[in-house]
Amino acid sequence: MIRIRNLHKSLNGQAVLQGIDLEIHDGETLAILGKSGSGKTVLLKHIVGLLKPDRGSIWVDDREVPKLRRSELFRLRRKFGYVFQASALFDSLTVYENLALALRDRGYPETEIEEKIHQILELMGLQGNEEKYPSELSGGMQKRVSVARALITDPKYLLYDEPTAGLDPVTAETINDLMLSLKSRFRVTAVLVTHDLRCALRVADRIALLSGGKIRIVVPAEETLKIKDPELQEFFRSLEFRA
Amino acid sequence: MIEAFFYHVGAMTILGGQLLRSLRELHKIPRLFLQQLDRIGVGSIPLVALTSAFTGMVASVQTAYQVRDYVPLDFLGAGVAKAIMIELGPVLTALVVAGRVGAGIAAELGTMRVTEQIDALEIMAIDPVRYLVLPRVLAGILALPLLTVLAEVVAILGAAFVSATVLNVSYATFFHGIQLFFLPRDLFGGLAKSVVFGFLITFLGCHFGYTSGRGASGVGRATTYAVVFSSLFVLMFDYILGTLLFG
Repeated sequence: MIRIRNLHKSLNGQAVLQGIDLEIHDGETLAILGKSGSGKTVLLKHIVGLLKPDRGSIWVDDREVPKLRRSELFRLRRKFGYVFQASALFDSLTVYENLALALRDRGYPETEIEEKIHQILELMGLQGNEEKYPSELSGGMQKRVSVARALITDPKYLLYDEPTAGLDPVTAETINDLMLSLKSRFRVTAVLVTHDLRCALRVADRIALLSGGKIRIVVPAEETLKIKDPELQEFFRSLEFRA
Repeated sequence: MIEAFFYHVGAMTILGGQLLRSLRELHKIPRLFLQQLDRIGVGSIPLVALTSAFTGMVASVQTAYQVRDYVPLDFLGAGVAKAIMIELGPVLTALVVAGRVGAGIAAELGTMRVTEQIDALEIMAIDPVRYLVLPRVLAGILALPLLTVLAEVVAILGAAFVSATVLNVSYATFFHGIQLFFLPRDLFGGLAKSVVFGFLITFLGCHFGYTSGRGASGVGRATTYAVVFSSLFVLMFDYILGTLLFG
């Protein structure tokens, strides 16, 4: 379980998060919806200890993330998989090496690594791309490799940062399908930050709206369309426009 | 300016501490270490050899020009070899490597920082200092003395060639001069300096890359700083170590 209490963070003198309170329950997928620049990625980076809060705190499995020593933080991070907005694949490594990196570091035998990579590439529909470099892949394929890299270590928590951003609608739907199938297959606890309401509605169990540095609303996904909130209405309009 | 100075001193201290701690996981980096040794060491051989050949040749001509009126040229080999072993070999090799390797490291790590690849390592629970910085620094510490030995051999051969063909000092006389005044301390003192230079170049390259600012301009700045400061530090430490070892 992930608990966030009264989280404040300013970057370059600008208050980005102004008292976030949020709980993410085991096994659920929570989508954090917000406009660009609302602090969604900043919030996500606090959960994995990439950023330290100015005030407030985050607990993951009852361990207070900002207070962990570097070695303890690395141990905790083994529970996480993280899909970056821009994929963040290692551009000097092949797809195979990108996927093998964390496993090798954790001392897995090569035969097991090969087997795991074969399985995950099949799941992602990426067979035959093992020896390609990230620059030789399309945006959608890079995103799928990024998801594969996050999943290959069997994480307890999976964090998606704008998984459909910059993708065409068809590829975005493929990624949504992929997240849905992973959700039913692995039952990981997932946090999805996005400004794409369609993506959030399809994948999430609950949706939280981040606005003005605070979580304004947290609702079950199926009730989202009934909520009369002016900011949510803006997202609905974008949905109508796209439809 | 003052703020930037303290920022970099602080960041380098933290990186240094993390680097020392990462030594505990030395067993995880042999492949990466060999890769970096190849890039930093083997990759620098042509440039270092070429630079050293001309340095030795010009050293021979310059020394002869400066001493010919009051010292017999029979001692030319001794003078040139000492200058090469104590000063020219270690320092010029370090400056050449600073330009080639320091810039490369800063650009590579800077790009990795900007494209969140270093964050990705962090989240995968792979210590980026152990994975990126430690292999480069260790490879630098080992490669620089080896490159310096190569540079010194090539420079002395270049000097001997010019002495024999231009200055009418035979190879036998040239090498006899080296033999007469050779002190192991000259060679090992120079190599000790190159160990420190190897550390400085790779560590500063890593530091500026690791703390690179945003975008292409941030990476560009990191690369420039890496070359400028590693060259500056090489010359500063050359004076300090020169005074300690030979003063």
